Amino acid sequence: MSGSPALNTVLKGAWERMDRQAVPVRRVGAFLLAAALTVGAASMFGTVAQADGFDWVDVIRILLIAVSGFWLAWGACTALLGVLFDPPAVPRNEEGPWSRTAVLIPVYNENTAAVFARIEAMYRSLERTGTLHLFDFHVLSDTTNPAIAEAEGGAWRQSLVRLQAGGRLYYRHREKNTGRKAGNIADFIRTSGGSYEFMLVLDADSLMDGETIVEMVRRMEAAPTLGLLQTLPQMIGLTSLFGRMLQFSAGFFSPVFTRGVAALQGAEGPFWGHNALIRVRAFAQSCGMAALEGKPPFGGHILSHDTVEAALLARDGWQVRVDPDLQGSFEEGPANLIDYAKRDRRWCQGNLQHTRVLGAPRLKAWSRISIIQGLFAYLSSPVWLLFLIASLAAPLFAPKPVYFDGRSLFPVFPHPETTVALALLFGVGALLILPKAMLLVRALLNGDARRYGGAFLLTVSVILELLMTSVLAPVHMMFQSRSVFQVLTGGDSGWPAADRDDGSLPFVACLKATWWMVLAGAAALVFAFEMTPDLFWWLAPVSVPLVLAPGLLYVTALPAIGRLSRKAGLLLTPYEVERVRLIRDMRVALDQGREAAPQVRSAAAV
Amino acid sequence: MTETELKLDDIRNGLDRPDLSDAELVACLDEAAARLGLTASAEDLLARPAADADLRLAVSCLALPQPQHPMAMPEHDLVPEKSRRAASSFWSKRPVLLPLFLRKR
Repeated sequence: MSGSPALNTVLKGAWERMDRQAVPVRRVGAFLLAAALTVGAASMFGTVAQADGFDWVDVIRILLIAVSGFWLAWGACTALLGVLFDPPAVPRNEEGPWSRTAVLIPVYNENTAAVFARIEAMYRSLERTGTLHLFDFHVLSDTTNPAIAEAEGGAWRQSLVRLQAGGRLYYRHREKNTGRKAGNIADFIRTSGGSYEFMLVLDADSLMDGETIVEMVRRMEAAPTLGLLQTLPQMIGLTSLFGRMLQFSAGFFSPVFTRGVAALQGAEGPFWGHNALIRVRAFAQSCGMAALEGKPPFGGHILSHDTVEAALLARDGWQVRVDPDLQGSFEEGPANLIDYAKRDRRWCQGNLQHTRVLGAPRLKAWSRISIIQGLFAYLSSPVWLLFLIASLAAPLFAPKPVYFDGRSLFPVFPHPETTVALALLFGVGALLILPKAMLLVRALLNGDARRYGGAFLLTVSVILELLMTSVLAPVHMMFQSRSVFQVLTGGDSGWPAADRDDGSLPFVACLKATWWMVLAGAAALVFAFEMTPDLFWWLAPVSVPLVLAPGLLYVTALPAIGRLSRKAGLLLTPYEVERVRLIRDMRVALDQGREAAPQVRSAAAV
Repeated sequence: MTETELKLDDIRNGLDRPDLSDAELVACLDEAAARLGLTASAEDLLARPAADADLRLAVSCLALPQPQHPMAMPEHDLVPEKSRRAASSFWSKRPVLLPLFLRKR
């Protein structure tokens, strides 16, 4: 990464050449591999399905498994690329940074003390780099709760004194949150955008290290056509078992998966809405979006604006890049499955709304593919569900076996295809497990396991994560399928209140959120037992977790179990093993903020 | 230029905020002084030497409005007319699967 301007020029040229030549090859290679795996899976399933005769339900099942299989294979190919792909060195401005950058923190009825604690930690971190004079922090509030808005104003004034940040830390409150987060950012650009070269867009729960921010600015200064530079945020601060599992997945698997994404997407990379540095001029020129005609869910303001913004930047010739090597980028996440599903419901609506912009003029082909990928992230669940329902129903529609076809004196019995079925099952299992297994082996070989508590604990953690994700997958599938159904029908059955500070859930809330899954799982088991006993054991891994869903939600949200796993050294992340000053500073600031002593004068003196 | 105006100019330059008017700056100084528990008003502070500790403290804690330096951000229409018509016709003809009381949004 370091070197002279001449080396930078060489790197820049190499990066652009690599992007132009290698990325299309990788895309075609990944597509062909995923397509070949899909054809293999579909033909194997066809063999299994026609064992009891071939009918129209089998055609539907084969189509459904082909769609799901391709999605699964595509994910596995991305992960494989992440293992194989070594990102090239990127150019950076060795003499910089020089550019003025706005750090934007959009907030909407958030935990005020936590928001300002993160700001304080980032501010001090930037101060340590000696480049603070180039950065201004802007808290862009869309808060609708008057009490929280007042608290935000108070916390801002306290932070100004504590940090002596006059002229560096701003707070603005919008009375009407037109256009939500995208409207909030657009409002900033239309008010103050001209003062800055770059803006670092964060979420209310984002935390970024000063060194990382400065490195991003340097990289952007060295690449004048780079419009957006995305980092991979790591999850921190979660204590429940579910939260710690998410944290571990994000820490251990996501970096490699992101390398795969970078390898496939090249200069038409992703924007995940936060923890990304953006060239203000490029964004202002390309990313203004008119509200879509009609009412929500498909009309109105674009909800998941980030994917569309990345596509619009690429459309105008700006590079959108994710640099997986950038560390020091953090966020918090949902502590339990209900919060996760609530967030997913919003994202589902946003992604399904993208069907309206799929035909937008001049979008690059890869941007359209990215939008379709976003759609399939949600449609794959109802596709799986339909496949399961069709598989349950298939024996009822199967033609009666013909034992005497007239060509032989002896009866011809249907040929059970159990071996092929098992081979298919193992194949699907391998697609799910193999990428994770490869990452584990890699970490064991290259010594990375140390950062996750050592070889043994990492291996157990990976197995535990695999088991938990497998058990929770049917629950997740049902939540997502319901979300898709609700978006398509304009319905919303609401969510039980589950706002405890530690993320734990009352059992009643778990029951309210999942009673319909319990019924569906039990009905499927009874149906299979009575009508299609051959399928009973095949269906059990899906139906049993559904029947147990309330208990699973409750147990995985318990902080005590999370603490126990922490104590046992399981699901550790490097940010728990290594002490990170930024995170420690944030926690100290949070404790001080909670005390909220109004002794501003003495704080300023300190 | 008066001594006060010169000092306000210095503060503006130090903050790199040429868009701030004298009146805005004085109001912000007043507010900062009150917040910090200083007994002096903005006028009093501005009358003091530039190196005065209270003045410097008040300036370092100013709660300023955002910089006024607008940048145009045109809105792009993402849905071509043809697909807009198709989508609206599809949506109006979609099957209504849920009873009215469940359709909250």
